[in-house]
Amino acid sequence: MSNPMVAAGFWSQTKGLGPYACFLGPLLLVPLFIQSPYVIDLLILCNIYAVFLASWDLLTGYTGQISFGHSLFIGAGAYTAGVLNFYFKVPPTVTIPLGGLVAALLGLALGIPALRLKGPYLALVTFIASAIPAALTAIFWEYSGGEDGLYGIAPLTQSPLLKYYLSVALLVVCCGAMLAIVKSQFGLILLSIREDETASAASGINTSLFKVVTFTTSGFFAGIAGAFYAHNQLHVGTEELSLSLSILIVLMSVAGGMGTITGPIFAGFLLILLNEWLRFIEEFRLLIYTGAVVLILLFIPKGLLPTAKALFKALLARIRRSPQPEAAGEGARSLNRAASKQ
Amino acid sequence: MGGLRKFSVMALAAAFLVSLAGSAISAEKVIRWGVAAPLQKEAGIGSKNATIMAAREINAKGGILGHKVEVFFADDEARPEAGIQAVKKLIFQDKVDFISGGWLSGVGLAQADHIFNAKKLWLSVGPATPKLAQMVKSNYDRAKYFFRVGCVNSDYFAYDMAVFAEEFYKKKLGLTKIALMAESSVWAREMATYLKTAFNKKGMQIVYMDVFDPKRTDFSPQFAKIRRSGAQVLFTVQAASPGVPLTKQWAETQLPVHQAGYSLSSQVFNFWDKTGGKCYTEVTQLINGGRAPLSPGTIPFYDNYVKEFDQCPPYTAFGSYDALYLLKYVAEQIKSLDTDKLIKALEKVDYQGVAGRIRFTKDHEEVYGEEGKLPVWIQWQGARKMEVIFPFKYATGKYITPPWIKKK
Amino acid sequence: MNVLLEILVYGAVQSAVYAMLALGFCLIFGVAGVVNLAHTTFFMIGAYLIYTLTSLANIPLPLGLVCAIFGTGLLGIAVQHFAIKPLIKSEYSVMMITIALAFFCQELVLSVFGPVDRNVKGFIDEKLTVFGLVDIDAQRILTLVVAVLLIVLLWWFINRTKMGNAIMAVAQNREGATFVGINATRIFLVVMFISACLAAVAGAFIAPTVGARPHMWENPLVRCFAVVVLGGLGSLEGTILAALIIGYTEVIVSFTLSSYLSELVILGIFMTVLIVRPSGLLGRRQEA
Repeated sequence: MSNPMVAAGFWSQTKGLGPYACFLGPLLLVPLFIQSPYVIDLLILCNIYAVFLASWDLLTGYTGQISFGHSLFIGAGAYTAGVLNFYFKVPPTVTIPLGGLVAALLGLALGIPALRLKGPYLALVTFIASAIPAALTAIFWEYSGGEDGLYGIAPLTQSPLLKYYLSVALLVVCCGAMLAIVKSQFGLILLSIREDETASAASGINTSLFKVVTFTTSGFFAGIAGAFYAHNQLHVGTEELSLSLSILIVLMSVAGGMGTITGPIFAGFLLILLNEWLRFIEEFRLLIYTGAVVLILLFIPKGLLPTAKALFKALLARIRRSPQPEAAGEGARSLNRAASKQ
Repeated sequence: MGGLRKFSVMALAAAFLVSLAGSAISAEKVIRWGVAAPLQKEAGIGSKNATIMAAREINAKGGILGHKVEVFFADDEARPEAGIQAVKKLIFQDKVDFISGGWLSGVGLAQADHIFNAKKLWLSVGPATPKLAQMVKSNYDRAKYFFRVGCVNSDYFAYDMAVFAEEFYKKKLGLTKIALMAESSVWAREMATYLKTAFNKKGMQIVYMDVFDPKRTDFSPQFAKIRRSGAQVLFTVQAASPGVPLTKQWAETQLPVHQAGYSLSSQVFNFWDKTGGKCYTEVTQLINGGRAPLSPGTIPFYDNYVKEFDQCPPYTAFGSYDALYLLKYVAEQIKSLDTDKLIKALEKVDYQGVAGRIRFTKDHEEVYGEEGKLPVWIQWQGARKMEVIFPFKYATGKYITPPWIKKK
Repeated sequence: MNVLLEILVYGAVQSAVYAMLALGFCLIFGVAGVVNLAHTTFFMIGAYLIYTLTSLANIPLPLGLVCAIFGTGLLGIAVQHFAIKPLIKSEYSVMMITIALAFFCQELVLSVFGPVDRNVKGFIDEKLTVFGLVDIDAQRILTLVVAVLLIVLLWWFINRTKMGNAIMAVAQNREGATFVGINATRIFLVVMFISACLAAVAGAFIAPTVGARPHMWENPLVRCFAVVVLGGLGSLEGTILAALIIGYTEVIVSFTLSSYLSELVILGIFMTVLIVRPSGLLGRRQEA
């Protein structure tokens, strides 16, 4: 009897890494099979968006501090990189970490007043807070490039292949770090704050500290990815600060499954590729795309990835004709987690 | 087991990626002509229509050097980020040999580096910012692929605007107090700065100047200030802004100034419907083409276009039509489609397009003036009645004063 | 003197429009706890409906106006019933679905009407001179008058009718109201109908001066938030007060300084008030 138990224990130790390797493997091997620079370029975009989405999920999915202003951090990173590179020719190796740093500071600056705000207030305030830098770029247009933005930003590297692997590295390092955070003790505390803040505070957790730290961390990763994005697009513009980018990030993450980190990453890949694939019906592309998001939110409220997992498990269980308590339990847990009041 | 299940989900995603990649096409020798433009807006619709028209005509007559022309479109949505995606799609997916189209300068500037990296000949018809040609000047080897076919640069718009203001408003109507409103894109701001000194030099004064957000829909603050400033003529510079609220509010509050300027949306017929006829007496600069005998082909092209699309051609339509024919002209002259040879030939070209004579400066700008492109000024005098009022030699109608301004 | 009068008149118009937009948003939040990010979509739909009815179908203007407002109200009911009700337990899900709907409607309008501006016929096509000095188009004055009338009507409805009392009862204590036989779900539908109608009126009256276009919902949405949060989410009096503050601030800054700064000044005021008093000017403390 003890043997299977040990085996199960061992399996549960390593199984966490299996799926990530399965995802990463194809991602690393893609350039071997796909020669089209266009698809490679799209995948670079997916990798960057994955970090945008995961960093949003870290903040909102795990602490329940709903942010409608994530473009604030992305834009801060992108403009930091853009301005430093455009005016002072600072190389990407320096601008990218600095972009993360500036965004982290902004996260700190926003996180402290945000402590006093809850629920829809916080959402609406982040919504409006993100409009301030956009107004600033318009006023200081001589430096920011105004509506046109700054162009001629240095590329990361001339080789498309190297650029691709750099973006994979960005994805692995940033999302890996975020996954490690949420799987650690820290992540558990965040979840407990999300579920019941009063109880967490009562049990001696400094909830304010954890919330501000999460705000800062989330800003840091979004800023890094934003700076990376600027060097990939060779351009920074007001779109990186726009409300629509914030909303896009919210919708994508929710469609993928909030509070899972992997769900938003999955949705990022799926929706960006879907959006591009729909180009053959150019006129109705965005209509279909937004319609699909509405339907997902309405009929798959838990998000695509958690639901897909649960469905898959149910299917497996049915094939075996015997309910598998462990898998069912896990499926239910992940469903609960996604469904519970964020 | 959990890993295996998760793997399947991931594998599905990976399979999706792979299926997406399988669409690369290997084609026989055709000339692949890509147009990145805002396909939902007047400028982009004009480019698309005119490109299709030109390609159809060229293919019916045997193509360019015996090769058929195949056209590809990508929507730049008038946004830099979408513009970058659009040129990447054209270059990598559609594997085009040439790139044309474009509208907003901000989008063009964002696209520039990506097009230069791909070393594709770029016959740009939309963006008017002088910064693109400055790239050619400062780094010829990298930026030589750029040619501005569709219009002169915005410095010349401004120069032409000042000439028009002097010849028409100052000398003919005796109006010298100018109010200037420019939208906040960088090229419009630069144009406004230039206009300020140019108007002063020509003995007119700028009594009010403002830069506004293209998304702005309420102009009451600006108009209140214009009223107090005693301005007689309002010049506007706008491309991204719809132009409609400004014009409607100008007419509805009976702002006592003549209105003229550069506004993209007022270059096409539907501006009359969009403003409910409130654009009556508004004057607009057409920077590239118009129903005036600029070249033997201008009026026939204009009328054909109107017949086919029930809309008049905006400047990008003239430009897009000319761009494709220009390529044909040059390629057949040198009997080659090699990019570097084409660039050398384009630098020396002297071609009579439908919007006027096309010649390039050494920075790949179009030449302005009688020896090159000459803008025309029209006044809205009714639905589909856009009468040319300047240059005087092309005038088709008499100027009408806005009805609420009392004649002295 | 002239400037002061101009500010007085234009500020009143601006504030009235903001109040009309924000009251509906505030009402549905106060009663049902719904943060309806598709609120200004109703504003856009109202403008496009009146355009379709009067300019394309050639229905007389007064009838077209009534149909447009009523039609938008029905759409509000549909949104409440099919999209919001299933998710109403989680205020975040409601925010997500409504913002997704807003984008979807934008794309729908874009596909149907295209990106070009549509001209909405005005009710009066004249210029007025108010106080002998301020030139303004009659349409804006009409908008002001209509807004004030509607606000008074809304106040009367909430405070003096049986339905109004039921609405307030649900807003104050949903369970309690249910015990005394009020059907909260139906109340939500009524409130959403009123809220959508108010937005549609704003759209129908503003569109003749600014035109109708698919992106017209974005800027008003941000302003609407600023007004509602500043006033205190769920407080009708606070919303009107905040609409006056934001409307006049905007007009004062843009008439005396520049229209660019007005944006920043409003955002600045807004952030300061929230940091000092997170529940807004007249909001209930416990809500924040």
